[in-house]
This record gives sequence, structure tokens and C-alpha cells, in this order.
Amino acid sequence: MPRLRFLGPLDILVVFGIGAGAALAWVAGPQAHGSRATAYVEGEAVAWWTLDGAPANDTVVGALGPVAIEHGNGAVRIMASPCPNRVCLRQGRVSRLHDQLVCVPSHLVIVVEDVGNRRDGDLDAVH
Amino acid sequence: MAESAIRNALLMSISVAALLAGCGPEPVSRHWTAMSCNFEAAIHGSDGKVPPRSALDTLQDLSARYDSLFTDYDPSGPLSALRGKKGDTVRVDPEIIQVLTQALAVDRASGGSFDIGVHDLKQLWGIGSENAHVPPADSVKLYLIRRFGFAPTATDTLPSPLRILPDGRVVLLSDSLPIDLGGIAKGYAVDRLSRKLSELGYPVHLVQAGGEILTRARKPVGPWKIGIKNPRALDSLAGVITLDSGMAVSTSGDYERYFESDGARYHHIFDARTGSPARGGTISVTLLCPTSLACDAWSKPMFVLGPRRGRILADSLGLQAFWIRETSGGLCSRRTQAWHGRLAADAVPECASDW
Repeated sequence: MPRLRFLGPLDILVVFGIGAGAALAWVAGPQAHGSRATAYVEGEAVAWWTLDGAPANDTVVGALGPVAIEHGNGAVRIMASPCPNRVCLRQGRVSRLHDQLVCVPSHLVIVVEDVGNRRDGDLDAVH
Repeated sequence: MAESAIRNALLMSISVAALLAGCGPEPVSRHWTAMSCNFEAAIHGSDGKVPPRSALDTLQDLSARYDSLFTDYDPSGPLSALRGKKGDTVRVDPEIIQVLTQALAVDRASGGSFDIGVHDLKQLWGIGSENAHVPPADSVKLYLIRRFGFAPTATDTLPSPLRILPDGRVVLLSDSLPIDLGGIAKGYAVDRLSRKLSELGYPVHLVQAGGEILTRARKPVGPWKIGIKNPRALDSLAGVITLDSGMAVSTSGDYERYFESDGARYHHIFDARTGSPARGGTISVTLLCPTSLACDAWSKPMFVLGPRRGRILADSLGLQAFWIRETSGGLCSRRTQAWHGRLAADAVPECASDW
């Protein structure tokens, strides 16, 4: 077997390790959890929260009035809303990248995002 | 010494290449609500005819126009003109005519599986509201007889609620029937918003409305990647679609709007013949199509028809379809021939047979 001139066995191991890591990032990326949630009202970002802290509460003013948000422990959820059918409350906690909480009557969308640059495994959308 | 330097440079290059693979400029994106759902647009590139934020403002305004045009909740909205007496001839907005024309064509081609007269039925079941419930069987039968003049069987041809004349006027063929374009209008809006972005000089973009997703052109780096939710474990994925050249994607599933009663799930995709949520075995169907309008409209009939009746139709229309059902052994799937190989990280095995 011809000897590789520049790469020793340890180097080859490192190269394979990097390749395997990149492949894993591609496959595992879709399962990735977000690190930040951003609230949009009427298309404008009005608030954002990091999700890696302890649970905390905040309020966003939507088209119908204040909407109570709980964020932390890696997830975000809507706690209370003045919308008539409370559909947004039933959406529960979301944590994955691209997950959304939507309250149409309040014109509110909360999107789970990632801080920093997009990675190879990131999805453009989830549905 | 030289060997060591070259080796280090080589290793460094490989590392950087692996880490940077897929990285590209961040898209400019925005989320908002219209047409009773969430909208999103993501623009790649910044050299359009107007700044990206202005382009997104234009999209938001356009979606507000379609919200007003296609709403079936506003008793004085444009669609209310179609809620007249049988035999009336009315004029409506040309864009409504475009959508109606497509809706009637899908209904015909699917053997009556795309119903634009479903508004009252949704009210009867209360789907999506706090009052969702299973109505008495007599109420459903009464609805069907009032709507069609008879209680349809599986083989009956259902009468169309309206006819479009060559001059663009509409002849009403039912009395006081509210028209619901919720199963197709979002797809139409997504197509139009995408076209507007291209006109504004942003040909590389993603637009979505309530799960109707359209990608256009090629991203600077890597393919478009769209995750499909597992219909029974919504925090995980059934798979990932990779698209090189841009297409529309749509999923209809029994997990989107539903309620449970006595252990049974009642969802929002109705079978017009029974007046009840479709119970063919499908729990989710995902389509890939050239346009969002086609995907939005055809996802409902494909859900109702299932793979046994839907596959040949999908193939003939150039649609790629992926059906999922739930069995005692877990989820399994069927797909059209053209779908095979589309899904990365495919987590749902093939079913042994169609349903």
C-alpha cells in the first residue's frame, strides 16, 4: 500500500473526524434547538429573548392588547392572550429552530431562531 | 520542515472548508400575519431595485390586499357577492375569478374532492374554535341535503356551486352559499408575493404563508432545505426535502386544526360527500409542485383520496406526493415515483401497501 507522503495515521484520523463532524452537523442540524425567540407584531421585531436562561415572563403588546410570554429553559410559550379562541395558547412550548407561535388576532408571530451565523445543518423552513 | 508546513496548511484548509461549507450571507427576512395565518419572506441578496426592507413592506401591503379580497368572515367583503340567489349573475374582482377558475378545475379533476362551499360545514363542526364538537348525524345529513339536494354517496357527482362565464361573470348555482377559498387563496398569494419580489429585483427568495412554501432560484450556497414535521411528534421531523432549483411545498395534515372526542380525532379537511372530516387513513400528505397555488389546492384532494386513488392523478399532473398514515406499528408512508430520493433524513418507512 503506498504511503501517504504528508499525512500520518493521526492526521488521517483528524481529517476523518472533521468530515464526520461536518456530516453530523448536516444531519443533526434539522433537530437543532434555537437559542433565541423573536416576537414580531405587524411585521416589526418588537422583542427578543434568549432561551437558555431560567424561565421568565414578559409582555408584548399586540393588536388586541398585551400578550403574556414565558421564555427560558430552552423554549418559549404564550401564557395569556386577549384573542377570542386562544388558539395560540394551545400551541404550547416551542423550542426548535423555525418553530413559530402565531396569534393572528393579535398580529403576533414569535419565531425560534439561532444567534449568529447560519450553519450547514440549518433549514430554510419547517412545515 | 517544508513537509510539516504543507501538511499543516492542508489540514487547516480542510478544517476551514468543512466549517464554512454551507455558510453564506444571511437572508433579510420578516414575519407577519395576514389571511388568518403567519407569513414569512426571506430575501437573499441586496441589490434589488429597492432596499430589502422596502421590498418586504411591499409584500406586507400585498398580503393585506389579499386578506381583504379573500376573507370569508367579512359579510361585506368581495366574496359576499357570491352569496346570492341561485341563478344570479354577478361580477367579482378578476383575481377572485382566477382563483375560482383554478378551484373549480381542481374540484372537477379530483372527482369533487376540493369543495369551496365548505364554510357552513366548518361552522357546523366548529373546527378551530372553542366550540368544536361532533354535530348530531341528523344535522350533517340536513346540511348535505340542503346543500346538494340529496345525501351523496361515494360515487355521486357533486353539483358545482357556481359557473364562470367567458366574460368573467359568475353564475350562482346554489342559494346563499358562502364561498370559502381558504384552501387555495394562500397558495395564490404566495405565488403573487414571489412574483412581486422577482419584479423588485430579488429573484432568490423564500415566501411562505401558513405552511405554503415557495422557493425561487438557487441560493448563493447550498440547496433549499425544508423540514417536514412528524405528524405525531411535532417536535421532530419526518424528513428534510432538499431542493436545488426552487419549487413549492405544501403539507395538509390532521394535526393542524383538530379536536378530539371519545378518543377520535376530528380535523379540518372535510370530505364533501360525508360532510365529515376525511377518514381515508391519511394523516398527512406533502406535495412538491411548480406553483404554490397548485400545491395548496391539490394537497386537500390528495389527503382525501390517499395514495391508492391519488398517485395516478398526481403523476398525471406532475405533482410529487408523500402520504403518511398511522398504523398500530407506527407511522408509514407511500410516495409517488418522482418523490423517491427527495427526502433526506427520511424517518418514516414505506407502508406495505396503499390505502
